[in-house]
Amino acid sequence: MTNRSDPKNPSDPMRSLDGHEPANQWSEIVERSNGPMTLDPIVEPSRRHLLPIILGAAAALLLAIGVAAVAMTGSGDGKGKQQVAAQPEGSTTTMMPGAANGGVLATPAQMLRGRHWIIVGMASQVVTTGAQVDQVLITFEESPEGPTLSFQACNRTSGPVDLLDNRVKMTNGVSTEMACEDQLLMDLDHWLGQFFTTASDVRVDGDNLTLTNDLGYITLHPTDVAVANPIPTDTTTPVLSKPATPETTVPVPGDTPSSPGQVTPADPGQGSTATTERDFTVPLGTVVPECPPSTAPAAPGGDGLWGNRWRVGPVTVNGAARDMVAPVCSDLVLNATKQGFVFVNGCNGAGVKVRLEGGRLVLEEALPSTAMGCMSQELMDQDVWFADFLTSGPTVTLAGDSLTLTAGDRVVTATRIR
Amino acid sequence: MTAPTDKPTPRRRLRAVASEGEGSDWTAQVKTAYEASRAPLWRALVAWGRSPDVAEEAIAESFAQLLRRGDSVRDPAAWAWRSAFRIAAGDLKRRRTRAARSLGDDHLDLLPADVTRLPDEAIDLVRAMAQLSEQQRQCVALVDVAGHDAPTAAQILDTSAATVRVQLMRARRRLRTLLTDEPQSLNDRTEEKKP
Repeated sequence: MTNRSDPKNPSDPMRSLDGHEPANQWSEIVERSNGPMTLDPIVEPSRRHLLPIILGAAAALLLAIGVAAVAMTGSGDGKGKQQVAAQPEGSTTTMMPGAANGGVLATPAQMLRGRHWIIVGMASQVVTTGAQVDQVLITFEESPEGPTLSFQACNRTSGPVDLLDNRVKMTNGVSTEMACEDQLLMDLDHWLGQFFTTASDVRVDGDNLTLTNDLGYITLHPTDVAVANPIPTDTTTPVLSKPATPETTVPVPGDTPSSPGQVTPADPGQGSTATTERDFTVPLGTVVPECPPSTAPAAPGGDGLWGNRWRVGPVTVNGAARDMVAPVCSDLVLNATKQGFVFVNGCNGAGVKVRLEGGRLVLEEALPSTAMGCMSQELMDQDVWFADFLTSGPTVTLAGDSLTLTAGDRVVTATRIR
Repeated sequence: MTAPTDKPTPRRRLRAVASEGEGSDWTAQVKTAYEASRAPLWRALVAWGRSPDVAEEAIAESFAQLLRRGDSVRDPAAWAWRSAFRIAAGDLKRRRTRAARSLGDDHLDLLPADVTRLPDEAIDLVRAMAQLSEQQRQCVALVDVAGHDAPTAAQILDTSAATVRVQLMRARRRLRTLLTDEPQSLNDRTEEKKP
């Protein structure tokens, strides 16, 4: 199949070079072939393949020597088995959750291995939490070649992953290429791909692990799904059902979530149909029963304004309570690592640099929005309201765990999430 | 070697003509291969490397080396495409190093002077391609500009077809934006640089 785009369209930019090719230079080539090589000599491709084999064999040999040395150390007096190899300075080791007898120490990155995870919290400037996020099943599997990471929102992406101390990075991810009707899912796929191929720091938050890099953060919760039963690869083109239904199961951390790759009949009562549907009808705002704990790094002391995450509510306008589209994890993240950064996460996520000036929160640029279609107009309106509120330069009052932002007759109260 | 029954891509055409020439002398095989692939290969190299001069030089050198090697090369088509890209990459690197040494790093993003001999639409394409990653540029150049399919492009790039498809999807999405929204802003940017 030729993939060249629209050959009948002369205005196709991909064809703009057509007809401008240089003249035939065969005689010059023949002449040149009789002279010395002038540019890079080319290594025969078939021989190049020997190099990785040689390197692989050398690495295997070194590994075998290392394993033998460790075994010899441990067999001396029996205490060796309790010994843990010296960790590089700054690395973190943590008891693996559920590890029997406390015998297994793992770095945060190692804790990801061989498990399924669901996303219970995330923040980025690109992707909002929405009905789809909790449906993404993230799997770290073991393979003969090393650990691999796979995830699926619309398309399934997988690739080898480096798990070192408290760092995680996926390399050479490959993806299926299904057409998805929902642009949200496509965007989510794309963003997750970018996120996981960027090196992330891993931090332990109770049972959860939080991966953080320049693109944002993702908080993962382990599931009970056996890794031996990987996400099925969906080869059908999904038709997404959009409207929210009250019957939809809301996954609870620890429960087995329905995989986004699973294809369910549109309506069992109507018999099987050629078209399959994937159910993404979790009502927005209820995807996470409780908003996850703060993942923003705490400021020194943890009692200041910066470096905390605040749960918004209640909100009053002219003394009267403004209804919030509940429960909505509308969090205000004041990030300590990038002090002067506020992130509002309602329907559309939005983050922007801010500064505190004379007791007022001043946005240094317009509050961007991912401008995604939300399932609720009220939620979209609420986003707009918040953007307008923050833009108006609210005064900041901090009292213990309570943060009050006031702009004219509009008052937003937020509580520190511990 | 038999010609595939699918719609011929440049490389399949190349294989076909090469197989027709089997049994004749090596020079004739390489010549037919050259004539079949020089146009798409040049387009791909220009779209990827932004320099028509580098593209011409890389094609000439790659086929000259092919002639020199004789029939020790098992797959002349793959060899020619892959080596042309590698030769061009080396040449571009040398040119960039020279430019950085004499002009400073700020000038590295400027288009090579020889691009100006291309039509405006092609310059827009080359400018937009410059916004893509290296791998995305290679994929677009091989598939969308030269007409290869993903598996063939993957062989040339020494990667998997899935990787090519993913990179293509991302590149096309980005190019759609760049080519529909940015011509004006690209022109503006060019004019801003004028004193």
